[in-house]
Amino acid sequence: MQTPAIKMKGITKIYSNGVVANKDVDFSVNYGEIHAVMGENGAGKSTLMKMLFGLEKVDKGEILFEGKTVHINNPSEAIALGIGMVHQEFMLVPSLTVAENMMLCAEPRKGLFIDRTRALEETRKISDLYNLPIDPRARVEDLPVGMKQRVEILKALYRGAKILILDEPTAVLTPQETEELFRQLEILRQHDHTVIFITHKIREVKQICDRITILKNGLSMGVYSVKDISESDISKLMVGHEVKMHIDKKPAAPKTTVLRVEHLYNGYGEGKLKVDDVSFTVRSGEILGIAGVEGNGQRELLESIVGMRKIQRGSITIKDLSVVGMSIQEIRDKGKCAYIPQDRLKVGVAAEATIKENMLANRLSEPQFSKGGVINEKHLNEKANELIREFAVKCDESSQTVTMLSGGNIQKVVVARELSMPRDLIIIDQPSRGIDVGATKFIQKKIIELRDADTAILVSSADLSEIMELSDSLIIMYDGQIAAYIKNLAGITEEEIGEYMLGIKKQTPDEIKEAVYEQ
Amino acid sequence: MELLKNFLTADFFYTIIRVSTPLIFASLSSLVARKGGVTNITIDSTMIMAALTGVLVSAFTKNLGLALICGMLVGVVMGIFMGYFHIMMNTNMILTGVAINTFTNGAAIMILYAFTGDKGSSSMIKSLSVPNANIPIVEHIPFVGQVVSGHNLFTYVAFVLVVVCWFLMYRTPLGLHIRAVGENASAAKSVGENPTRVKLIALGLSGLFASLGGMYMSMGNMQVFIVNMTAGRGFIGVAADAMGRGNPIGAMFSALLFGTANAVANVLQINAFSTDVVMAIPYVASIMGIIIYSVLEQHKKDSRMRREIMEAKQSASIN
Amino acid sequence: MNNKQLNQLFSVIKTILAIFIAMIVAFMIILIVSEEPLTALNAFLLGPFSSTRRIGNLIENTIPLIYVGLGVCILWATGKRTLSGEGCYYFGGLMAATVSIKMIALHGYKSTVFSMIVVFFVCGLMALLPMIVNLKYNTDAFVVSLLFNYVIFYVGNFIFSKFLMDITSTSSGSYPLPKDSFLPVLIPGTKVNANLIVALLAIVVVWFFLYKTKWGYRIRLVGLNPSYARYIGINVFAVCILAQFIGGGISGFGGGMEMFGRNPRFSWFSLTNMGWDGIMVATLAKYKPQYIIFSAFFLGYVRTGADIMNRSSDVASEIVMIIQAIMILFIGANAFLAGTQQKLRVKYSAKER
Repeated sequence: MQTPAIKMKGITKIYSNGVVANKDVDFSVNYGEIHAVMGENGAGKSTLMKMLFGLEKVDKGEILFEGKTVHINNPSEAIALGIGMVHQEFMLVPSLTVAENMMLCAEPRKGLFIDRTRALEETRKISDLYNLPIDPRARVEDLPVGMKQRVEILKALYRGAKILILDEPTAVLTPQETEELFRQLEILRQHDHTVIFITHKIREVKQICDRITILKNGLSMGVYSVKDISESDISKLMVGHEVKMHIDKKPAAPKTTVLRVEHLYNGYGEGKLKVDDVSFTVRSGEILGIAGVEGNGQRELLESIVGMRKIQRGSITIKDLSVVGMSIQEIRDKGKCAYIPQDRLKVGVAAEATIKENMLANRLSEPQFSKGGVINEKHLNEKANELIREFAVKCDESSQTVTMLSGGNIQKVVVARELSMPRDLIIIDQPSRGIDVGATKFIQKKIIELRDADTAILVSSADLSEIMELSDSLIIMYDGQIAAYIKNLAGITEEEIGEYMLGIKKQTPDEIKEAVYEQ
Repeated sequence: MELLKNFLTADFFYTIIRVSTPLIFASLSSLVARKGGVTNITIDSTMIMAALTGVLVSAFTKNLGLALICGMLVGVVMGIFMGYFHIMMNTNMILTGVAINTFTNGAAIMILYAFTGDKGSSSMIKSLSVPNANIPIVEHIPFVGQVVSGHNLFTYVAFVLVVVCWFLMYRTPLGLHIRAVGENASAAKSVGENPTRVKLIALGLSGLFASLGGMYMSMGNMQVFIVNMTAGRGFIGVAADAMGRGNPIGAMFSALLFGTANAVANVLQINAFSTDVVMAIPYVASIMGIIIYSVLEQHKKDSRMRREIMEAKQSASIN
Repeated sequence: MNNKQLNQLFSVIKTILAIFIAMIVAFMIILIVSEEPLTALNAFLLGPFSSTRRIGNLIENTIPLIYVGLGVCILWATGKRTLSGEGCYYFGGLMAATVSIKMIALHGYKSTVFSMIVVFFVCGLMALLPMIVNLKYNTDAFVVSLLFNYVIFYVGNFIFSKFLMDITSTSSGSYPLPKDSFLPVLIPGTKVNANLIVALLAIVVVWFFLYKTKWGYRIRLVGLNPSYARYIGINVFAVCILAQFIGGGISGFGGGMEMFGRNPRFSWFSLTNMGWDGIMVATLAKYKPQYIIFSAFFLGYVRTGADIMNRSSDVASEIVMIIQAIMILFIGANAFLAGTQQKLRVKYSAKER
């Protein structure tokens, strides 16, 4: 048996905040193979690869390169060993040409100047060698995403990479571009190079990969030969949770349609459509969940509805009022819509402002809080304290700044602000991300209370067990489109949802159309 | 009609080139810094300090070469000093700029006062200047010769510097690294470059170019240092660079455009048009320039998005 | 000690240290350039308190700094940094002179009040242009406002030479302002007048506006986190415009108030540099109006001392600017003492565990 190109033994990585990203993971790749690394968000795939590329330090365990122990402290050392990485965000300089990007910091010189002829030649040479055609004179900013990725791959190859790590390379590609990428990867395999392919998409693994390593919660679930393992087995190994949280709730009693989204498109100008012809409705008194692996358009969809993102095509109505083109404030006021964003610290709060300022900032115009523009400090304090009690925010006083609070309590501040006013529609993105169990339970209970009070609720969560417990019905997004609409969650398993999430299965257009209720 | 005659003279075009010179230096100074990812708002100060240094050193040593070198050195040091505070000490650019501008305003007067006993100008001391030069053959061509020849050596340096700057930015490894760091520092870092080092070099160069503009003011255009003699030219340079869309040639043409505004102002002034309103013309032109640049940038982005929507619609109709 | 206390402590230490370093540098410069350093130092440090007239000077110098400092507190509160205070201060002075000289129908305090209302609105509106251009076209607000200040100055100078210049007088300057419009003098023997009371009131008003009114709340929220402000439905455009209007108005107000008593004629022939000084004052006060009184007084003191030193020794008063610059550099430098602070933070948090 040949010596593996890379062998990682017993790798453990604990971040400074105590999160265990990898625990005792074994991983190995050979030359001439395409090796998939699969796992859900937060399973530890990226961390493992970052350690291999020298971007993160290994806490425990060792890395063997061609049988010899190595310490990779930074990317330069990884490159010297022949390891290259193509990040999800391209490390390219847009206004430079392809050749300039390829040669950056390793330019061929002629006296004081860059030897441009040679730079062009070298670029052509390497692109011919691997049969990856590219125009060396083109400006990178003018290239489509697939070509940019090709430049990244060539850049790594030019620097002598034999082992190439690709971090979710197909996430930004169109189907045609994906096919083209796979053709390129085949060529690399023929050149006896190694490709490590991080992905969520089982179909792609089946199509191109030789072996697969599956990670779950930082643990390795084993290494399999791709031809010996079925799609649904992979799905089962990736998804499936032991910890169940039980939520008590009555069956939903949906009434009138509140939110209606029809043929929505978003993402022009960003290289790829993020939301691709999405239609659905949310009725009062129901919780509609959006499941999906992160980055499949959920966030863009929600941001489009609340007016934080411009849409290019489609219609959005809240209670028969078209909200397309309205300002955020108008949507909030006229649509009676609340929104709890995913990124709490960047968007959800002003971290340096006080708790009360954050809780009541959107209600300053109400007569109880201000008269003639002057703030009524007494009422403001009273209301803030009332909300702090009602939403059980752990803090010393309402005039503390939000930075002093824990993640769960910051989320409660956001929730308190958004849910304390009567609302017809509540949109929540990742309700329990990064917060403790107590706060999660509390927030879920609030959501269900509001549903029972006939509010329409739209929730998106990457946590499958959470979204399954919380939702009354469910849409599953894959690649910017709705892959499935599950009207009744009673008869469906996590595995089946996992298959929709990972793009193994997709419902027929007629089934998906049922997400839209006419009324 | 009478007025128009004043514009169509060789003198007028000569003036354009003369008054554009410091703007060209300033715009190149801004360009190098901005390519490295920093909007340099200390160019004006750097010009003042270099102008003063040149005058004082030449007056006391009677050595023109030494004066020029000292002036340039002051420029480089100021650029790096700004970079040190802005990049390494993580000070907000505007605060750094405010501090350095204030420092310069104070220090220039103090130094001038200490050496000449005057707080307004260096007219008490005899300083040297860089001579004017005629271009052989060209000087005899009617009109063209009058316009192009007989300028201060600094002026010719400015135009040569435009070309040098272009080659520096687009043909040398250093220029490539400066552009890479300014646009996407992590990309440069990922291939082993040290962004801080590159930025400091860019700011040093920026200071150097600014210092030449400053010395032109006090040792070329005039033979005396006057407090506030730059009158915001360093900032007009920033505007010219913005309108030039980051290209040295574009920056030069923008600088010439603003220079024209200046020259127009000069002519109108002589013709007893209200001096003050006329003096505002270059600044208005600069503001307009910045706005036009931003609108064009916005337009470029929009049209790219529109193109993608069109393509998407077409492919949708095919399917 | 928790993180918040640590931050506050370091903020104070940094300010004191910055002042200290600046003063040391100033002393060193005095020692180097002066032939009678002790006389100079004495004049610099104690001069401002050596007579009623000089104490008066100190207060007179402090007052305009209060206004421009307050102006910057509001101008910069939305996180958009402009230098509009500079142009507004100049134009405020000009406008006050113009209105009170030309509006002969009004007399006494009516003239003063009317002039100042006009000043506030005109200057407030003037400050809008750089911000509108910034919000609409995403231009560099600082550079545009700076260039615009020159435009303001030349337009102002045009107004001055066309309407106000007193060619009959030997002193260059405008016609004298009507005497009956002057503010009442508070301390006899000085020019300290009712402007002091108005300035102190202005501090209270600005503080109240920023911290106790809903618009002030919104302005601060936009400054703290613009995407958050947008998300909760605040009209960021309107809030930024409002902040510029009020900030510009107050800066102009400061310039206008100078006209009624301190100078008999309008005689500014260049921009005043007060906009830059406002940035110094506000930065030293951490952009909090309640601290402006201290920072303005401190800069007023340093400035008065330098003036006296200039007159009684051989050191130029411009040393003040060097002091200011060094202070701002060190106060603004986020990395200054950051290492020490981080070490302490780690140490304290380790203890808590």
